[in-house]
Amino acid sequence: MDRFARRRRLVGAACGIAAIVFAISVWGCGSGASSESTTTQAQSTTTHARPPHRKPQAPANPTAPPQVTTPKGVKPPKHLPPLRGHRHTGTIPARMLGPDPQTPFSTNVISPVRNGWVVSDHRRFTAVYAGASGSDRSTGALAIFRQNFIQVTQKLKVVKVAGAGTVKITRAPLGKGVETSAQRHGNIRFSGGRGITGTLHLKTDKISLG
Amino acid sequence: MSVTSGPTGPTSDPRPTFGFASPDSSAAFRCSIDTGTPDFGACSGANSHRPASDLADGSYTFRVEATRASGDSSTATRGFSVEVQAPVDATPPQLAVAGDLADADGQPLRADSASAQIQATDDAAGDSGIARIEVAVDGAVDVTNAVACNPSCPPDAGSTYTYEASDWAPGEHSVTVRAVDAAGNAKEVVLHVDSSAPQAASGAGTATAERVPAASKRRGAPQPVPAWYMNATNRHDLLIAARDDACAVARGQPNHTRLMLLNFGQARRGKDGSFGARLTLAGKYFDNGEIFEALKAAANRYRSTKCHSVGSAVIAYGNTNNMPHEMGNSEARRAGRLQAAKAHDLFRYERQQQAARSGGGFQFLGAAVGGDIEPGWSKPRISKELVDGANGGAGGTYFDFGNVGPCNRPIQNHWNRGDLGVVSRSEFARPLPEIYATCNAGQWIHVRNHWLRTHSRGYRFHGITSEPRIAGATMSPGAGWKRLNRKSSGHVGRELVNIRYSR
Repeated sequence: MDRFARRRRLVGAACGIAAIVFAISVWGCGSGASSESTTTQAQSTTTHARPPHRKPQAPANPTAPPQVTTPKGVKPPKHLPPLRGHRHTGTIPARMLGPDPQTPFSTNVISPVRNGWVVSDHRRFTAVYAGASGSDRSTGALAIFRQNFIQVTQKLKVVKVAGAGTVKITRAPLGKGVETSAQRHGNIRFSGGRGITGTLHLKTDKISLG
Repeated sequence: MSVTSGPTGPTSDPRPTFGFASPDSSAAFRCSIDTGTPDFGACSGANSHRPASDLADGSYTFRVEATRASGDSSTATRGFSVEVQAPVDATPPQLAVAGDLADADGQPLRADSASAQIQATDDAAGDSGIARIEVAVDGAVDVTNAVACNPSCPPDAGSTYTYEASDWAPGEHSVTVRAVDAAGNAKEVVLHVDSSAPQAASGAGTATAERVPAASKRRGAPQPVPAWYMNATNRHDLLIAARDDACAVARGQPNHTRLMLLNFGQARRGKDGSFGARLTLAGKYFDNGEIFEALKAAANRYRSTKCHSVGSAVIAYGNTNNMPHEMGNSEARRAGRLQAAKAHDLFRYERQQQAARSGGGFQFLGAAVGGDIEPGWSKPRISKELVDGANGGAGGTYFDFGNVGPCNRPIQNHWNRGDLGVVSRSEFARPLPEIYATCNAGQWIHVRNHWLRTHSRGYRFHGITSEPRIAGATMSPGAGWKRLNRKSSGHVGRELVNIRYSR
């Protein structure tokens, strides 16, 4: 009895494995068509999800951007490992910017901009812009913009000093030789209205007043 | 008889000394310091007089009477005032607040606990000095920090104080920081924070997947469009950066990006007469030829490494931010025309490359010219000249980030709604208004409505530009998109431009 039972279990298991293998092979064989089908479906879904006037008129010029739809015959998205960038050969010695320097920010973020400070080594770039919050000029704002050339990332941080009015940078590390250290733990001194002073610590992106 | 010395106007000396002289050496003197009625008495010296005690603040008259042996007399007088007391301090102190609470003003509080560093100064001439600092939450004073010199602070008194609070009750709170000087003058800073959904404090602006793209996973929600600022100080670095950065940023997106903005900075004319752009970050100028080479490098990389496993992409370049104070209208027009020509060249180049190589995950690459056309930054009409120049040439497609200025100010630089409609019109542009606050949507609805009243063709937004949790932003990107979409009857595409992106 035990022998028959064991044989039945083995046969059953073998059948089960065969069924799974068969299923996988069928799914795999059809994956190309299935993928295309899925893509088409996704495309259709995307189109329906748009507002009625989503499709603009045919652009009059050939440089018009295409519709951001999934093209036919293209595999669905898959996760690709992130790429890395490269070291830059050039650097920017730490220097002051201004007055009224150009920034990558909206006037909603910081406006007016009194001055700024910028530095980059072979791997990173850091800029600090000083001024007032675009929505409230009684609030001082220091906008910190960073890029990492190797990781290919850019980050934005805005720290505010409520009540200080428009602030400006009064002292910062300058020149060659501080391109790396200043970005990591440089201290940027600033002043606001009527004696308000403080320091922006780039190590923590925090402000200490006084 | 005359008064020879002593104050004639205000004096801070409560016991001033006056000198006097008479041609008759035998004369006898009597002195008086009074407020109107003479009160003569003996002078304190032979030819001078000083009051025996301090005079109170006020106006006085010094009189000296000389009586000769013949009995004749004469009097000399001098008016003066004593002002010993300091002037009353009527100026409120200066007050500044930094830290978590200041950064979170108008926005959600990121953590259960938050601190604020407070600096109060009252040290100008005549100031009485800081007496105390108060912090009130929702109107109830939570902390009073009395400065050690209270109640009589020296004039140079100042104070810094760190306020820390934890266990914020869910909901919106007002935090009132108040500095009071010894004369009773007060200055307040009021912050508004929302602790409805405290979130773990994150790093310094580090982009995380849940920030912008979270909404993109839902149907109909904005899709991220990364805007990457090109950064290089020489041609070699520019080529390498264009080659690597565009692909790396694209692959860092959830589902990979379909639209890519490479920002090459402000359109400029070079010193050698060429036209090109100056990179915003590095401040380095590159001519259009160098930029074109960089764009080709980016395009080649897109194809060769299959950055996109799905979808199409556009490389946009150009940026009119803070436009050319050193360029005139005609030069801006020419810059736009040349920029559009390069975009056209890139389009043809890419078509040729794709025709030669069939297949590939990346289907189409278009080139666009212009971007970040913001009247808030631009000299009046310069951006429009750039646009008109491009449209008069090979044509260009513009990515309009659409910041028309903060809510509490009119559209900047004398732009009007009609010009904005022209620059951002859908036919040639992709209006991507910057929506940071409720009013921003209203500003752009005005522009759209004006266009619809004056033109037969429609006007629709291709999406929005927004930064999450940033100074000045009181709306999340998702909320901003929804508001604009609702206000424009659903005529908003799904693109969400952001300089942050997920890695």
